[in-house]
Amino acid sequence: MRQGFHEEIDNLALQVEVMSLLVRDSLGGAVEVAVSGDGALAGRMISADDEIDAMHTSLTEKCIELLVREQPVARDLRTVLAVMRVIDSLERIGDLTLRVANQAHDVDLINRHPAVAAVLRELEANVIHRFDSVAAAWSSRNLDELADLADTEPLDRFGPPLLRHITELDSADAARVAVAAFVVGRSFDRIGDHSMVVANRLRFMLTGDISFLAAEVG
Amino acid sequence: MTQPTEHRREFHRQMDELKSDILRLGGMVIETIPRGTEVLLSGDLKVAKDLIAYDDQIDKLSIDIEDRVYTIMARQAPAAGDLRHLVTISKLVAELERSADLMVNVSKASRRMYGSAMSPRIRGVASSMANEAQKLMQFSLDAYADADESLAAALDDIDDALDELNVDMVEAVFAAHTDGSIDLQAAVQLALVARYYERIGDHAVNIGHRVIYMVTGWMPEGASRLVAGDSADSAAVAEIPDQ
Repeated sequence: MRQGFHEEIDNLALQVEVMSLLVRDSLGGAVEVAVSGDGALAGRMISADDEIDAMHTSLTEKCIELLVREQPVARDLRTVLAVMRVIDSLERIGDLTLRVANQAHDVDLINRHPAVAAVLRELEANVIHRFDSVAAAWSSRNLDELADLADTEPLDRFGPPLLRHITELDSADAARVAVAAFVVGRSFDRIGDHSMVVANRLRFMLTGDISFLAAEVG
Repeated sequence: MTQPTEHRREFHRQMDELKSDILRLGGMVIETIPRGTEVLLSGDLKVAKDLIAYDDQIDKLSIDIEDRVYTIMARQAPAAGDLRHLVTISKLVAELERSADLMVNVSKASRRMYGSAMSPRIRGVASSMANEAQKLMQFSLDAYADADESLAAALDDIDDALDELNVDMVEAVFAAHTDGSIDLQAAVQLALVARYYERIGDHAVNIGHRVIYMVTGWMPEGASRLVAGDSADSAAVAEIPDQ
């Protein structure tokens, strides 16, 4: 029976990988929408998000079932607790990609302002790199995959130039452009934050060091 | 024979302490709403500074509660009902901690637009949003404290008023920018502020969903609202719903 339980734990972690692939597709879609304003793609992203939400619900229920039935301890317990938090972040990353998709109709307006668009492109690349590193670390259970994140530009580096360029806008629709650009920027910023929550939960899961939980509160 | 009984008593004492602390955390978070709003409406930068320091205390208590939840799970092997309560507490911590962060965001946004005059309409809507957010958060904590499934389920509908105020606020802000009474920086910050209040309402609704789970063992459909980010979109420019 315990053998079956360990298989269930392994399967749970594998399901998180599958969920992260779905979220990665949606993240790629968000970047594409932010560049192209493709409304059809934005629409497809909504359907895909239903699948992410369904996985979130079923995995949450599975975690609780395992906690109740198996009373796991030590690393098994940490794995179940980490999965519960990681799937919350993945689900919310999925939601945040929809928030970017919501702006499809204003993307052309944003991209008419090259300085604003340039900051957003840099931020998007930074966030994709974070997400991919964290997903690779989760799949391989290898914290070395997270090593170069220490040298990655911090997310709060992008806020000030974005705000500066936005407040320099002087077109008639400046307020609309400003809010839309902020939505896109802050959504990617939060996606980056959630990627780091996943990283810290993985660190906690693998090492048992509870200080990694504090790293995500701020 | 006495050892298991004492063990059980100790377990219940720890659970009672956790419940008491989560309500204390909730009280601290609720307190940030009028304080952050005071920064917005009065421009009192001292209050802003105090609020940011207060958020550190909230963070500290949040981490402490989450640590204790994990310790109890690991050491006490709680039964199903208690386990649901512990899972609920761990989720509530995240919702509450994030809500306090949003009020810090309100304070920081207020600092960025320091000196900008707000029209009576904008001040009125902002004040109403703060009241609604505070009311929702209080109801959500009452629902948790009393394990009141009916009140928890009603939060979704109560939150509609806050969603409508968010639309009013964005319209008022765009109008004020168009007629030149506020600059672009202030317009952006005010649109963000409206979103932060609306998000606090979403966190309260999420707390309600967690309470329903705690009481019934079932998670309501579409339980998690988009509450992760402090991004700034507005209902006025959104076409695709969050959920």
